[in-house]
Amino acid sequence: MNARALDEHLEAMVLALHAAVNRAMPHVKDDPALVDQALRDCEEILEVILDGDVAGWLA
Amino acid sequence: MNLVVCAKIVPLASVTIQIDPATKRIIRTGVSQELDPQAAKAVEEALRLADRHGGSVTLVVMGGEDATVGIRSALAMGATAAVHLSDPALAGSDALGTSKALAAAIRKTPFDLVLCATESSDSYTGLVPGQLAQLLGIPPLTFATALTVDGNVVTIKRQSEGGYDTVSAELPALVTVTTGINEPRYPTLKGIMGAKKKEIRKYTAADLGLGPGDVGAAGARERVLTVGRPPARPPGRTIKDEGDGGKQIAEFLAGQKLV
Repeated sequence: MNARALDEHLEAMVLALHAAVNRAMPHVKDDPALVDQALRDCEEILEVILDGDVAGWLA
Repeated sequence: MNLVVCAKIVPLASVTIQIDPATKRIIRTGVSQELDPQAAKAVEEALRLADRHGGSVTLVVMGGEDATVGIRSALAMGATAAVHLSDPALAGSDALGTSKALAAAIRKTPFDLVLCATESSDSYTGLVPGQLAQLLGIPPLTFATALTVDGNVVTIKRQSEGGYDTVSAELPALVTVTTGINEPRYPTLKGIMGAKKKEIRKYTAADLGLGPGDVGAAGARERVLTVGRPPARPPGRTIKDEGDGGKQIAEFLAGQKLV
C-alpha cells in the first residue's frame, strides 16, 4: 500500500471537513441553507472515510 | 480567459511556526501544510471569473514535495490544472528569486489575468506580486476588495483608508486580492476525487532557465539577520470602580490623547 498517497488522501479529506466547518460556522444564524449544505458535504466525506475502502480511494 | 493564480502552501493555521535558528527560515519539513487561506481567496475569485466568462484556472505554486496536499486542495476547489515548481535549487529563494521563478513558469502558459493574495499568511512580506508584475511587464492592481472583467478590461475596487478607489487596466494584468473579497468555497468529495485526475506539471529551476545566480539561497539578495519575539508589552492599568471609574477611564483616555 502506498502510505504517502493514503496519507495525502486522508489529509485532503480532513482539510475539506475543516474548510466546510469554517465556511459554515460564521453563518449558523444567517444562512441555514449554507449550513445544511456544509453538513451534508461533511456527512458525505465522513461516510466515505467510515466505509474504509482504501483501495478505492487510491484507485 | 486564461487565469493564473499564484499561491503559497503554508503551515496549517493550527501549527505554531518554528524558525530554524541556523537558516532563519520557517521549518516546513514534517509540518502539516495547507493552501494559504489568503491564496484560497484568489483561487475563489479566479473560479468565479471562469464561471462567468469561461476559461481555465491554473495554479502556480513554488514549494517542496509537501506542497502537494495544498495544490490538490485548490484543484479540488475547481482549478483546472497546477504547475508545481519543486526543486532543491529553489530552496532559500528570497522574494525576488521566488518572483523570477513564478514569472518564468507563468510565461510558459498563455495568461490574461494573474491573481495573487496581497501577502502570504506565513511570512507576510507582500513583495512578490509587485515584483511578479514588473517581471511579466503587466500592470499590478493591488488590494482588490472587488473584481470584475469586462471585455479586455479588468476593474477593481481598491481598498483605501477612506473607502475605495476604482482602478482599471487592460489585460493582461495582475490583481492582488484582500481578505474580505470573498468566502472561498471548500472542496467537496466529488472535487477531491476529481482533483486526482487533474494535471500537475512539475518544473525545476533548470526547466525555467534559472541558475544559482537567480534563485535559491545563493541567488538571494535578502538576508534575514535576526529573528526574535516582539518586546513584552508593559502591564495594563487596572481601574477599580469605586464610584469614580468612569472619570478615571476618561482621564486615562484624555492622557493618551484618545478623547
